[in-house]
Amino acid sequence: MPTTSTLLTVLRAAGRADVPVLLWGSPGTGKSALIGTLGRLDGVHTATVIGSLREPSDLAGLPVVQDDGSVVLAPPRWARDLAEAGGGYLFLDELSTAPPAVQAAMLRVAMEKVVGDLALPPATRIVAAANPADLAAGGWELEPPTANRFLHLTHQPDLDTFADGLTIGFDRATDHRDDTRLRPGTDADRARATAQVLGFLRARPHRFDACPTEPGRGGGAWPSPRTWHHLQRVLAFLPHDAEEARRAATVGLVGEAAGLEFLTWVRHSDLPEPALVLDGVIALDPGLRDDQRFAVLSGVTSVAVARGTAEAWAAAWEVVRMAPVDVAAVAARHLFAARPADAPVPEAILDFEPVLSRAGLLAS
Amino acid sequence: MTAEVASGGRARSGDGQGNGAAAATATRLLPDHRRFTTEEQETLSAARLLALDWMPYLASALFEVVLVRSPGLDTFAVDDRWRLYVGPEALTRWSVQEVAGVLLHEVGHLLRDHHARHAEQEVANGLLWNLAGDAEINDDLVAAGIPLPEGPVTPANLGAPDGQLAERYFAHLLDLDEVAGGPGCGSGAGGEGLPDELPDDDRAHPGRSDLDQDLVRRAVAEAIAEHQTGSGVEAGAIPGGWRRWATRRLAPPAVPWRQRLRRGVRRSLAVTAGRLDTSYQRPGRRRLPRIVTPAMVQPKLRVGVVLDTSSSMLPGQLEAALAELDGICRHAGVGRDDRVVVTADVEVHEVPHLRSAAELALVGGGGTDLRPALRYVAGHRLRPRTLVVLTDGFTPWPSAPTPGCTVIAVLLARHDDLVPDDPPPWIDTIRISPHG
Repeated sequence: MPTTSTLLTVLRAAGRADVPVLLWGSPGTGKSALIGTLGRLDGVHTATVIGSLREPSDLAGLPVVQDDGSVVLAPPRWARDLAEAGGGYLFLDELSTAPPAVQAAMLRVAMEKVVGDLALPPATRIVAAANPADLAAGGWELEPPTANRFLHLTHQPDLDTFADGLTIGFDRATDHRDDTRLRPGTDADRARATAQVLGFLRARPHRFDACPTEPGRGGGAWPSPRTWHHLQRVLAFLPHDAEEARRAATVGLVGEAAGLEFLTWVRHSDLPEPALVLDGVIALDPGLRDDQRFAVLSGVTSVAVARGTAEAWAAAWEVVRMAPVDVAAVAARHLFAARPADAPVPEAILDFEPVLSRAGLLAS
Repeated sequence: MTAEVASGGRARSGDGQGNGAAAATATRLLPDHRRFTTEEQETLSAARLLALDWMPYLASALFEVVLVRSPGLDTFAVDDRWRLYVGPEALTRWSVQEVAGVLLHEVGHLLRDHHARHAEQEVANGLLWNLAGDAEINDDLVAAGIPLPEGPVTPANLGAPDGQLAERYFAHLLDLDEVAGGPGCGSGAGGEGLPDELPDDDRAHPGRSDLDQDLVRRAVAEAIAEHQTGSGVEAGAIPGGWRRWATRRLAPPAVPWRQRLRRGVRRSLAVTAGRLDTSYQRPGRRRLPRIVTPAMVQPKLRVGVVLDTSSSMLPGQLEAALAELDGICRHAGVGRDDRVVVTADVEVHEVPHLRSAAELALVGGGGTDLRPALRYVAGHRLRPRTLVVLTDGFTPWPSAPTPGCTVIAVLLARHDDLVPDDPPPWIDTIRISPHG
């Protein structure tokens, strides 16, 4: 459950990246108030449209018959205000409790930023809110294609912000909680985000597109080309040390399973390919953490064992002996157990003799 | 040999670069009492090696902990930032095998998130919670023949059965009058914090963030799942406790059946309700000069229910499911006149006004074909578009979905614990467990 500070960071990053956000939360937890505060803090206009009180024409434009018989879709007041202010936050409240036709009209606004015949300014940041299906009166789950268009965030009020809000005012309390600076989203930032998303998808192609097929599981985030693209845009604005914000954005866009796999992959993405290390193309970086070294050495060992030749086996020893003994000892043990018949016993095994005998593992 | 490894001074990789230098600096800054002696380093290395040999799937966690030398502490302990405090006296006293066992034990506290789970308990009692956590971990270690020093806490010692969660053992311990506890395992185990615990932002021993911890938990759970299916390098037996932990960790959270039934019916009704909501086919009653307003049209919501009276389900389950369904329908405005209820055993009977499951004559035996009943309801003159089937699941299912109809199958638990095959994927299946 992200804290208020994490939530604000992700909301701002998504706003800059032009990715619509869907805020889930129980009624009465201050979702509208949070967006109002965010608008004031950022010094931009905030327009609120409550879906369950509207008709489709309030979002898609009211058809007005002209003297010549043609029809103009007249934009409602809130849209004209937003256009005059040059953008800002557009808060689409109660998305999940609105009738389906209103929902469809809200979606068109959220996706294409078009209201009737009026195009909203590009600087419009879309935030929608929904109540979980089992809490809302008459609410329903979103269909997978709808859910896929948003970054899903769960809003839960935190007591600290609330306590500060009662004493020093909610705007100041919220401001006080937001201490993360966003990245400027330069070309370099974008390139890094692109490399991470693309690198991951090349390594795990099955995570590229996985529409949930079981009924009842589609209301949340799931991986698709669209959400990966959204993720790439949002990540460009999130600093590397804002870990919780990166987690909330990733899981909120591509879902828990693919999201955590992605974050783990990013954490290890600087690891070299074991086969290249074995062939001596890449040297093992001495600055790696122990768990990373262990992962690479295990990989090198399995590649060498799979090849099964005396040359591969000898090459693996050259890699293993360069690593710290206590990290490499497991690899050394597995390697020794798989000695090809024609390979001579390498001298390097002597390096591992003390630690292996101390652990009582030498007999095997 | 690497002083940085044994001292645990592995810097977090901020951006994956230059952490080797950072670690070296951190090592230099280390006060004397925090530096491991060569002898201690070798014991720890050998013990970690042994631990990896016994439980290779815990590798990511064993390498993730930050070792901290802690003179004066006569045991090993962990904090909630994954720092493992090593008492030099205990390290010398225990054999390498025992040190390896203790490493696995402490890593168990961290992976199983005993710190956060203690915070969720209604009663806070660090001493008892620590014992409960120990019992959750140790039954597996003892069963796997892993040595632990000084009379480990096991479920048997606490007078409780093996293979349960710390929450159960905790409740059991709270019921006892007097419990004696040894030295705790620190705040990372949800126990009492140590006097010597480092601040969160200690430079020489950086703690692990919540995200790092969760990623390692997931990596370990995936390693266990992989190990189990035997695609890993060396497949072996995994203790039941770790297997169950990994399954829970990887499975999506289970939603209670009442909630799933409510969502399922409501979603299906919403689809029907959404079929014709606002329409320009007729002008709306709101007349404004020069403006065309749409009319609101909503189809009537109707629900069809198929009851498999040949099912041999547990008593009370059919009653509970029918009561829940009745509540959902009334809430959504589907009256009794808008429901089609049929019972199916050998023949299909329509039940005009079913008030309670007690009115039904249950035949038992199972193995009925529900397909004629589904066809009958789908073709009924009221045209219900939401079909709910209550059955034990031992029936052939239609091979293709009925166009425009949503089918929700509620599978009730049987007397004899037989579990039917899954219905086809287009049916929203809700299983009720024998205890649910």
